[in-house]
Amino acid sequence: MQPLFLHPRDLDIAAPHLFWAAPPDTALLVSLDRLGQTTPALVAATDGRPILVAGSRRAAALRELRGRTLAAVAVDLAAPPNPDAPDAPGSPGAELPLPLRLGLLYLASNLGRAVTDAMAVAAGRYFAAHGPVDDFLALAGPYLFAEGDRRARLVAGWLGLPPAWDALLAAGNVPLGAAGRLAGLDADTLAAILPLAGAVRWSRGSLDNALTWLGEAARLAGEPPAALLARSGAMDLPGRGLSPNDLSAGLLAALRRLRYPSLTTLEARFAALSREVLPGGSRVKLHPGQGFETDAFTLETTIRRPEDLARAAADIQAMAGAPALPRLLAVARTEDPA
Amino acid sequence: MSAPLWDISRLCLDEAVAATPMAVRAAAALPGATRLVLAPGGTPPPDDGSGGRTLHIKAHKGRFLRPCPATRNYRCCGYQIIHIGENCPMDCSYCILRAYFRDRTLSAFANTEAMFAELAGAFGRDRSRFFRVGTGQFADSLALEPVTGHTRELLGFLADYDNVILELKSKTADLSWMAAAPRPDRVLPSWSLNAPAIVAAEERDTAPLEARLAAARECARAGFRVCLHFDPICRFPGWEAGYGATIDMIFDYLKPRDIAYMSLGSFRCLPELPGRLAAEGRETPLFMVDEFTVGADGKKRLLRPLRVEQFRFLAARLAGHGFSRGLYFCMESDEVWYEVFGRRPKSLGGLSAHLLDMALNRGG
Repeated sequence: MQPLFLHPRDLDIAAPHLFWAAPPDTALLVSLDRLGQTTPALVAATDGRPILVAGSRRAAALRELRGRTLAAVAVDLAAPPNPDAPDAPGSPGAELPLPLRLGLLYLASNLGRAVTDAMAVAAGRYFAAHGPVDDFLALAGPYLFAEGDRRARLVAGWLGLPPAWDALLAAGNVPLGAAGRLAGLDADTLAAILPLAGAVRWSRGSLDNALTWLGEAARLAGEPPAALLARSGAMDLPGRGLSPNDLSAGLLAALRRLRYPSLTTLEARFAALSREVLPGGSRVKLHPGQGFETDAFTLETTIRRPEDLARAAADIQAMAGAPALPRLLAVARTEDPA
Repeated sequence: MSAPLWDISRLCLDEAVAATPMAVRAAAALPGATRLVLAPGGTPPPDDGSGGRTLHIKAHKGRFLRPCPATRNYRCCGYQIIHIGENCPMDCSYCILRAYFRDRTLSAFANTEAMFAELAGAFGRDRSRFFRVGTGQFADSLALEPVTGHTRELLGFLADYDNVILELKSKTADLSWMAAAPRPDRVLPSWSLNAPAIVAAEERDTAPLEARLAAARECARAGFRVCLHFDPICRFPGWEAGYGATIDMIFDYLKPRDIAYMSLGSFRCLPELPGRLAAEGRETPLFMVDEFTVGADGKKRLLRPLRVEQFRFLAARLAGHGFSRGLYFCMESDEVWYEVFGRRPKSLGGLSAHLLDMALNRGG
């Protein structure tokens, strides 16, 4: 097989089938400069301009090195990638449209590379643009996922989301595991939560909680989640310069308040009254009785030394005389309007 | 009865009770049902998917008289259960029986001789001691009455026990039990009521509210005093108007003196109930998506201030119609009692004793 030597600027290094294309890093530039090209790229000969099948980073790097050509091996797009494979639909040997063949060749040339969730989705976007998602899994799945890898179905679910979400997956804001949950949301809700999704790094559990609260709150309020969110105040939080942890906690708290307005109000009143009855700096913690079912509350403190116990006893003694104590004990009671 | 014989397409009879009067009555009432006699230890075959139900006439091996499965953390009315069968042919989305029983098979206990022997021991030991008992805990008291005649048989037995007051709790309008001619002051026919929207959407195959109240009126005219139960009280948009309408309707049919007592119970459920409904392909009703806490009994219940708001509304509306004294809560805390009624069950001499007084119409 004779190598071809092509000028890298004669090749399209941003073609859609090069879906994992990325700018070359310094290490690649240095390596190519000092050692030359050690692995040929793949090109396909066509009637006109050759098509770069794989090697976009090398081609991009060589563009920056004056006077260098790209060494490439030509592949025959007319020949099946695997002549021995049966011609079953979806099998590599079956007749495939050119875009799918290019996509498969690109995947094949990247075999062995660790495929992140975002990369799998990028591949999925490309293939799904040319056919059903199930065909993508049948064709490209073996190049992307180990057998039984549940990510295959998650990626398929993710492909139901608007492409704008892909950047959040790549950036680590939203995990692939949330695909199913997100795919169940309507377009307006997805658009409404996109800024919040990109504001923090969500775990699957925290995002699940947030979406459950939002969905249930909207159902209870009888209005779309997007409308409820718009007037919730949660959308303002990302602009307040909070630390990532505080922002994350703040968003979850805002959504929980939407879902549980009465409970969170009770909790807030209890917390405020607790601060009122306890001396400042006290390490005694107060907890409401069983979801406010009773008027009792419990005390909690940690004793490591005898003086901790003496301090806690003094705090409790002070609490017994606090004017706010009766209100704390009646925090869950509702004033009788009569 | 709301639906003719409840779609019962298969009658399974335990061999040991296949010749009992109840089995004979059931076979006669269900001429079109496939009949199957089960050898000792046998169980009804699994649902064949035809849509019909199985009625299993069987012998009950355990105790027939048992206390209500209440928790000590809430005030129980002290009602005792006579266990006549299990499961219900009606289909209420909120029903606790969904969690207790995993399939649609209806069971009726035909070894009534054993039941009466046990009851005779309990009720006859001290005839000065009164019992307030009911059959509507693990089944609707009257849903299967046209098939089994269970209640008529029980009333025949209880005719010898002046110290027993039987409450028959139902969502049907069946009054066939009256053929047993029980003492009107020893039977409390009772009905569960709800807001019209809840009855329409969540209580499939039950009798309409009007039919229940018409049956209650017929009982009152026959000299019985009736009981009514608002349980579960659900919170949904427009609940005030809904419950208000039902309360107003009650007094179109009944006078306050016709009602021995009335309970209020907020919706509560085992936490897995919404999941069970989803598994059946049913949408979770809005009232199950609310602000709940897990109570001391392990059940989800509405956050206390929200319950109190509803209780106050219903209590005030009932008071407006002149009904207050016989009102009580099913499974509520002293805190809620005090918030709504301004008193705790202890001040009534205990809820159980108070309701016995109400049942016996002591004090008029």
